Amino acid sequence: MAKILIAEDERDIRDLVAFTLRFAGYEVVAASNGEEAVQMALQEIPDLILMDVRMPRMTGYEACARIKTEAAIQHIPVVFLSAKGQESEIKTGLEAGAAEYMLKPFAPDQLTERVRSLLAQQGK
Amino acid sequence: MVQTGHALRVPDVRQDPRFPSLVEMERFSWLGVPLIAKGELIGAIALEKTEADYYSAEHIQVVTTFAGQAAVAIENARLYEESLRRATELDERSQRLALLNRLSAELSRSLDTDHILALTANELAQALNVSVVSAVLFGQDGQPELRAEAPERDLPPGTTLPGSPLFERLRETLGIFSAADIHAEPELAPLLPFLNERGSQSLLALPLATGQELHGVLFLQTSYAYRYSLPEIELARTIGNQSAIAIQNARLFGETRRLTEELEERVQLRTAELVQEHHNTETLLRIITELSASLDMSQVLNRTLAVLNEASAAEQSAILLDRGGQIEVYHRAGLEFAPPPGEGESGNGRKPWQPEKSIAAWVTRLRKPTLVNDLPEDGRWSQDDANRVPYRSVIAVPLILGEEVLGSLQLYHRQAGQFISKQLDLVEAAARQISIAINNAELFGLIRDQSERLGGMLRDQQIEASRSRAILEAVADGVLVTDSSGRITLFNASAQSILDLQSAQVMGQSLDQFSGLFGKAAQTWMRTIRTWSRDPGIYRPGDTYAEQIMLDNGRVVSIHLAPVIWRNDFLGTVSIFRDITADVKVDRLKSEFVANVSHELRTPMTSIKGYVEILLMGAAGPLADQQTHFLRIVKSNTERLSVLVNDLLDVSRIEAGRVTLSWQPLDLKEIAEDVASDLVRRSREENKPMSIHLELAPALPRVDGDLERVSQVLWNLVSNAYNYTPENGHIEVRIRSLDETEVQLDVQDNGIGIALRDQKRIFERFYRGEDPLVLATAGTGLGLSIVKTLVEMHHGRIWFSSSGIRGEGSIFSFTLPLRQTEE
Repeated sequence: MAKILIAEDERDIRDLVAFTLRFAGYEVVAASNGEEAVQMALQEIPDLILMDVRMPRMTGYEACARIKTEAAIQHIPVVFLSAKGQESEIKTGLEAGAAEYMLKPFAPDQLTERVRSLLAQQGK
Repeated sequence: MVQTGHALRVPDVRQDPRFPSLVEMERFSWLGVPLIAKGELIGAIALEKTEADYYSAEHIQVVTTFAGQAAVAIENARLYEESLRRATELDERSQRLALLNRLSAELSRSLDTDHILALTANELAQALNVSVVSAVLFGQDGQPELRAEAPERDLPPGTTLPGSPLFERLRETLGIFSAADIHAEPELAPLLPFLNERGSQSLLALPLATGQELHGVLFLQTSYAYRYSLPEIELARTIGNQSAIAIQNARLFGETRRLTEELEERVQLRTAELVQEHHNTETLLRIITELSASLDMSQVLNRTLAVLNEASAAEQSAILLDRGGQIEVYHRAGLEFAPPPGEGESGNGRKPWQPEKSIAAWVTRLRKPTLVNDLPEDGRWSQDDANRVPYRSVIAVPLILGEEVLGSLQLYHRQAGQFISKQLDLVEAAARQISIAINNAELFGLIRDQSERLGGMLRDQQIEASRSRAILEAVADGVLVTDSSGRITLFNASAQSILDLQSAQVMGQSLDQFSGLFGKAAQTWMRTIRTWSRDPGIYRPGDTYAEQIMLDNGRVVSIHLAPVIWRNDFLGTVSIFRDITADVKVDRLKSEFVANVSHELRTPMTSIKGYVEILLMGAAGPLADQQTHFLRIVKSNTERLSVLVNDLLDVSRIEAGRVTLSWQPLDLKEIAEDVASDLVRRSREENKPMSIHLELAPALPRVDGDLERVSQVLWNLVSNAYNYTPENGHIEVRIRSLDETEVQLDVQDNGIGIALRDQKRIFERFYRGEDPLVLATAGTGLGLSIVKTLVEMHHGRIWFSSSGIRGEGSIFSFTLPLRQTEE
């Protein structure tokens, strides 16, 4: 089963995402800030990273950028989750290396669907 | 012998063929010997002898010698005779010359014609053999007058001779006439009495002429018949010529003297005239001086008229002016006369006397001066006995200035006959000057009044301007005023602090120079001003140009600019500045706050929505129906919350100017159809039946816009129509092209409509009006505000119409411009 890393500082949302994905049958690991996210990525080597943009200590953008520099985990697709949906933010995100940008609030089935299609692209 | 010049001997004459045999010859030998003196043959000696052949060569020789001597002696005698003759001649000549010289000398000493003639007559009488010499001169009328005679006798003055053909002849020929016997000459007949008186018998008439002119005749008379010899005639003629010349000189001298006398007379006359003129000129100069001394008319005229009175020996003078047909006394100077009855003042009053009024009217009308010698006697002017003027002599001249006659100048004297016409020149000249002076004084008065009035007006204007200035200076907003050429004329204190510029730096400068301060916005600003200044007609009152600009120092300033236009003249501009940095900041904070809040709200919403979904999915366990029902309610409410948050976010983003459109060609048909199907779904879900119909024009032109936003607009209007129409209502969407430039979209419903009093504010943020039915329906009041902004961002227009009556609904319309094919 594919492994998904969720990086989100809001506990409720973190739990929501974890529940939703586990319900869909995925393995989920969670980080609660950017630094943790990078570390965990290196540790767990997930198949997909769901990253909140706005996090303390290190923003999603920074974490993503960092991940993309690490040889071991560069390949992992990163999906940003954000309340801000402006073009400029989306652009920044994609430039940081994200594969996708999802807007909050999202429906859990939407999330599941997106994850599934991204992993399918990867052959997982 | 004459031929050969030699002696000739003829031995026998009977045998010589040269001797004609006319007479019996008794002497037969002949000897002829020429007498030759100085090579010329002057004669011959001829010897004859009765014997033939008598003469021998010896005889010839002797006779030749003798002949030679004789010739010489003859020659000598001739020469002697000749020299005697010549001596006599010379003697005569020298006598004559001496005579002539003496005469000449005497004649030239005299310039008196009679004396000349007397001299001449005497000389002639002495020099020639005459009894009487009468000297006759032609007078002024051509009458021959006897002027002198020799021998002298007392001549009665004016003795004239009768005319005679002789005089004619002499005039023509200028030659001498001589008659040996006067009685034998018919031409002399008229003169016979005169000549006989003198006992004359023969006459020599000598013309006294110079050039072609015959001045007179000298009659030389002898008491016996005598024929004058040529030398005598010559002498007489010479004397006569001398005399004639002398007479001519005398005459010329006489004329010269006469001319000189005449000239002297004339010079004296002229000098007298010049003196008079000089006197006049001096007077005139004094008058002019007085007139130009000041503009105080009464003083000036007093002095002027005093001078005039003095110069013309008048007792009083008056200036009368024609004021629109009425004759008034403008000024009087000189002796004071008793006033006319009823005047009440002294004789220097304003009211003219009757006769002087008439005189003035006459002179003014005819523009000619007049002289009255004695007023009572002069039939032209009437006076009634009650108003007798005290004066009798009058000079009146018109006061003329260019084409106009102002009135008249009149001089008076109590005695009659005081003035002469020669004085008119001076008075007329004075009148001209006075006219000018009066005119000047009046003009001056006019100008002074006018300039006082203008000065007053100017003062008032200046006060007004100062007041306006003070007001503008005091205004809290910055005020900048430019004139018609773009130069800054006012820059108040507030403007100084807002724009951070000193008034001194800015005043008088052209606005263009400062546009750099204001960045790009300034271009439009300048352009607007230029348009106004070039074509003031374009401006509609109420048009202002408003702009927000950011200064270098980060402050935000709002500008309102309006032109000052007066009767289609561009006079300048007025700009009002306000520092709205604080306002802008507040606005921005508000927007940022709203944005932040919106974002913050999304986080809990995500959770709520998410967990509810999970529950509804059954991931947390099976659900009872009621649980499901309640959860559905929660879900729909979170969706409503979501819409609200999105709207808030939209509004704040639009206000902050952070919304950009992504332009693309739009298929309006597709958009409309999507919106319609969304509505149908919603109607089903909410169980509120509503019909919707699309009426789309067959060939809709291409329109550019942001797909998402245009959909948003249409969805919003349709959604409103749905919300504010009770169930079973009807919504109509029409799209058609409006002329060549725009496409119009209409959304019509038959719902509750919009109350008339709410209509003005319908596009305002949060405004929902006071209609209870509207308020009962869920809504944020943000929709139309956003829609309006979005339509305007597409360069379209949005409006609506509603009667406000329930059941008649409303129509909302908006336009989108056609896509521009040439970009």
